[in-house]
Amino acid sequence: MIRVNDPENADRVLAIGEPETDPVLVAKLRALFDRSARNAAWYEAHAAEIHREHPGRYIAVYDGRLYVGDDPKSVADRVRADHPGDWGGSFRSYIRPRPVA
Amino acid sequence: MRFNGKWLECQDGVIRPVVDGGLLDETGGTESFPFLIDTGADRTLLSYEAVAHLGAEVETADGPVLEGVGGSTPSVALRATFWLLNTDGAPTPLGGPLLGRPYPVGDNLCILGRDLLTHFAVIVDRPGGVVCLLHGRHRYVIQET
Repeated sequence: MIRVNDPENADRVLAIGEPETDPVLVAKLRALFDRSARNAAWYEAHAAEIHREHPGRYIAVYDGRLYVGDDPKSVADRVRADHPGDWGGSFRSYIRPRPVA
Repeated sequence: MRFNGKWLECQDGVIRPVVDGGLLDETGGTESFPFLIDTGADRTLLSYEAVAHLGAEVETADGPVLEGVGGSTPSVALRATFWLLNTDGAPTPLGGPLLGRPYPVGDNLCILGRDLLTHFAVIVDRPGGVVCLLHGRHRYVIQET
């Protein structure tokens, strides 16, 4: 729950626009969402292994490659360095240590 | 329009309903961020990471104070657009005057609040594994099996 201490705008409603038709923007955003879904699916397929090998660390997945580090910024910076201009859509997460059964 | 979300395991191990949103930075670079579907949130809120991606200057917390279960926190006010991908494959813009977090907090999720969710029929069905937002001509049916 989040309440906003802003009585004048308490019931503000934001806009939902019409679907984009600019082909360049549509292609760019579709590519982003496609990459995001692919990277999330790769993470799901490898989640057990990642949790076993990298508890307590930050990870990113981009095009089938796993990036691991001790803070989220350094991991994101490595993804950006490897994919200049095209780095969006990585799957990013902290790997929470799981209790030993 | 229909927008599909997903159940995401967050950093605290809790699985929550999210929908991916895409943002453009000032150079046209793209990034995706999970938006928590939070019907209890008055306003949509960008995470610190998303605010940083937009290149917004965050020097002062000039937005309204946000009050939650854990106490109060400042916000920054900014104007931005983000896109959700509908099931026809068309990016659809949402936005306007938004709030953002001035520093990293917890899971660093963006929050899709009541100011935008009011446009949608919201389905968050954990047993069925369904998260989706319906708008316009799309409707849902409740049935007994």
